[in-house]
Amino acid sequence: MSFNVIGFYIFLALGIVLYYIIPKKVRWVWLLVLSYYYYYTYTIKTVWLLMATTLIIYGGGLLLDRINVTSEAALKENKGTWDREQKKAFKAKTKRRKKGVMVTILVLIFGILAVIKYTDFVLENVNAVLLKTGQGQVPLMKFILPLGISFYTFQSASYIIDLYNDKFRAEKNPFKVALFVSFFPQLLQGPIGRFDRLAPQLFEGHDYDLRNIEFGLQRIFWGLFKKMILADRAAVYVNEVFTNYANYGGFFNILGVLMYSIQLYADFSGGIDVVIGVAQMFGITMDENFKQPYFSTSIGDFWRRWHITLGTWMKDYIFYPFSLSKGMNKLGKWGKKHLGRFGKGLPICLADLLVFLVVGIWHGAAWKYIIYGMYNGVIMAFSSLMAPVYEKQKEALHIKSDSKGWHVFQIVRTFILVNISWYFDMGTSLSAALSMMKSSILDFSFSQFNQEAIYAVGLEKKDFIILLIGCVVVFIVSVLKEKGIEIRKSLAEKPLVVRWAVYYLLVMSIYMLGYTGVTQGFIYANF
Amino acid sequence: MKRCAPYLRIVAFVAIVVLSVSGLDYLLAPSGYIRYLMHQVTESDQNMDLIFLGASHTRSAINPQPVADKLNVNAYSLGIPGETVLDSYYLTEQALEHNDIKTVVYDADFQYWIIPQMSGQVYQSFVYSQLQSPKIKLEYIKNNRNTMEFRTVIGHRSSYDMSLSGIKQNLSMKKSAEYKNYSIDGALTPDANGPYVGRGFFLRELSGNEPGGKDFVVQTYAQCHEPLTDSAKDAFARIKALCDEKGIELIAVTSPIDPTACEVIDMQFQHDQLNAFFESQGVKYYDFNMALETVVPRRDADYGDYEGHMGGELTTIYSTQLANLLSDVKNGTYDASKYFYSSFADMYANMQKDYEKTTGLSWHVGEGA
Repeated sequence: MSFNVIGFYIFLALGIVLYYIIPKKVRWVWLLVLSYYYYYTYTIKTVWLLMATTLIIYGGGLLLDRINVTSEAALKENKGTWDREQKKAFKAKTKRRKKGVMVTILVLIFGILAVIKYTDFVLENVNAVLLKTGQGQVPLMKFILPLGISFYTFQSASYIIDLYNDKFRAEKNPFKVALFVSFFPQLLQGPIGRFDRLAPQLFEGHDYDLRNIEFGLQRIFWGLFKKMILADRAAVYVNEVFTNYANYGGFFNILGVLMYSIQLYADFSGGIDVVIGVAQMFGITMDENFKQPYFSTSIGDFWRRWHITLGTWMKDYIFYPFSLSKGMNKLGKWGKKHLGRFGKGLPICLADLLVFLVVGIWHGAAWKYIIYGMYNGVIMAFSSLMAPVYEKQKEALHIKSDSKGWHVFQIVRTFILVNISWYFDMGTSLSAALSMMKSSILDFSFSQFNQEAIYAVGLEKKDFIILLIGCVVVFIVSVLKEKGIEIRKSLAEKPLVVRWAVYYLLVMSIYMLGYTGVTQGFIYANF
Repeated sequence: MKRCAPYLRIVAFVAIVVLSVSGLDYLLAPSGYIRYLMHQVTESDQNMDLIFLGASHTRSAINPQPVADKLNVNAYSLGIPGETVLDSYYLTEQALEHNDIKTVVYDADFQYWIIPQMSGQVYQSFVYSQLQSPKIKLEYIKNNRNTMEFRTVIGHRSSYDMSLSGIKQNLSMKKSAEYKNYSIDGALTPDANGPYVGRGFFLRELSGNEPGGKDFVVQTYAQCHEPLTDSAKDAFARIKALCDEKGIELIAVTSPIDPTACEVIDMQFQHDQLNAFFESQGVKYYDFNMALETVVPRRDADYGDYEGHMGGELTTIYSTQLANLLSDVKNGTYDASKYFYSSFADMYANMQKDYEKTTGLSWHVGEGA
């Protein structure tokens, strides 16, 4: 049940009405029922995997909690009898036990993800090798990919790692854990929530507030504006060019990538707007996932603004633990001693590479995604290594860091770098992505730019005009947000007529300008 | 009152949006054939006895008049270009509300059986948007709630013509007496390619040469061995259940497509899987793609395109033979060898010879040869 079908809004309306009617104590149960029903509307076949992950982290959570409680009790009991060394040894033993549990749980839940999502990728590569050696092929498993598996697995992992780090106590009620894992708005494409921020909101029965409904609807319509007017329309051009790239010259390939940058942002951020809006109607505030990413001044900045919850997940659970590990600490010291300033930054570089390798693998089971991740990782690593050199160059060229020109240059530079990564992300394969890149450079000519050829790709003149208008609207909104203006708040302060006129324009523009051809679901729902 | 004010505002807002959409529908949605057809089904005093269901092949191939004459019934074609199997179910339901239908003849075009049907999408909502009965509309929404785009519920967005000339033409048509009286002249039928004869049948005019659209054969070849989709099978099962419930006889046929496409896209494969499916449903199936050339003498030039839209005189010949077959089935005198080749192989081996012998005409015409 996608966000643009009538069934979703009937489901949502009934869900909200009942949520606010039933007693506060059981409202979370209703959310759980809604979440599993929502999952059922897509498929029931893979629900057992969702349940398995839930049960694993529930059991693992209780086990970690028990270790904590028993160790605290033992320390208390032996407060007077144990000396410092004994206490230290006991604490280390407890930590090892907790680590063992955590690692086991993570292996189990990531194991499910790995088997379901990546088995065929591995087998395809094995087959490629076997083919070269003239041996028989291994049949592919063709598992059905469960809805939102990458999202709920990462969310579940964060619960276990946070428990290991004693951030909070384990949830004793398995159904509450089930709700945390399956909360329906975010099930499809995130954002990847954290237990300490999301769970209390899920379990608390919120009071009815019309403002939540109004703000939620605003956000939903804004998301649909981006998805239906921009993403679905740009997708027509993108799909044609990326699928049949060999038929088009460099100009069209570049235009295709630019269109993809519109499509992907409008699709993903639009979907997240709907998710956040839906949650808000239940009184739940979800983590933001985007912060004007195309205004980023570096790749690092981009990943702090794009898919923020994935970025923070990577930072908290991979980057810091890895870069601050004993091994990396030693490497840093060794590097500083032998390689100087560059060597000192080695742990950070390696952590960046590891993070983006995982980001690439997270995106999908294909080499193009791994290259996509590594491309970002290499830029990040290189940038941090070269940062002192850049600073010196800037000084030599008398460039002021706070000048507008430099700021715009950084934004354009980052936008180009990001667009290069889209070749890998959207290309049908790694070789297709590389061919498209080659064509974009070697087969580029402005003579390819003629109206007849552009309109032959799949969009009409009016579609390009609508895309342009839509982009201008999104751009203006982004600029205002970038300047710190809270649009919804300022809109709420406007006179009634102005406010409702804006709503009317938003709703009618979706009706009139939303794409009416064959549309796809949300891109990130495939992850 | 103060507490109610925000809710009244919401109600007023929704009312304004609905009114705006209705206004836009009037201004931008051209009046098409389905409005006319729905009026025939629901408002006129037709009292249809026998209806043909299907898509564009049905509308261009089956002239219900010979069937009406032969069986002495009021026969009518509800074939609409783009009509999915599920659309056929709702059309039947709508027709049953106003007519005492005794026989339903479903004309199966394989394309609608092998390509997944998403009848709720914006561009495919044309039958829903013209359904007259609120009850059936609600049933449509209920059954398609997981695929039906929310915009289609309130308006005819998919059919908007926003060009200035389109708006002018639309407004002048909607102000005309023909439109107000539900005459066929008050409906745009650009895809009919010929005059309206009556009973839901348009007579497609032919050039006399080989048909165009060879691309169809090439494109369809890639998917011609796809299995029947579950959505099509489920939709037909619903038509069957509805007919059984109302005591209506349900018969399945396939109108013949042009011989070239028939052979190239391996219609035997489609015949076999459709035949097996209809047999599992307990529905009699007659595939006129296997029709004897001596009974339905057809060549490519009898079609408007290679997709198999029949036209010209062949429509009368085919419809007459269809009437004969239905009569034989009704009277229990049906003999397959009277109408059909024993196999596709037998047909391909003999059809050119049989055609030329029967008609005295050449199998190939013009450059297409």
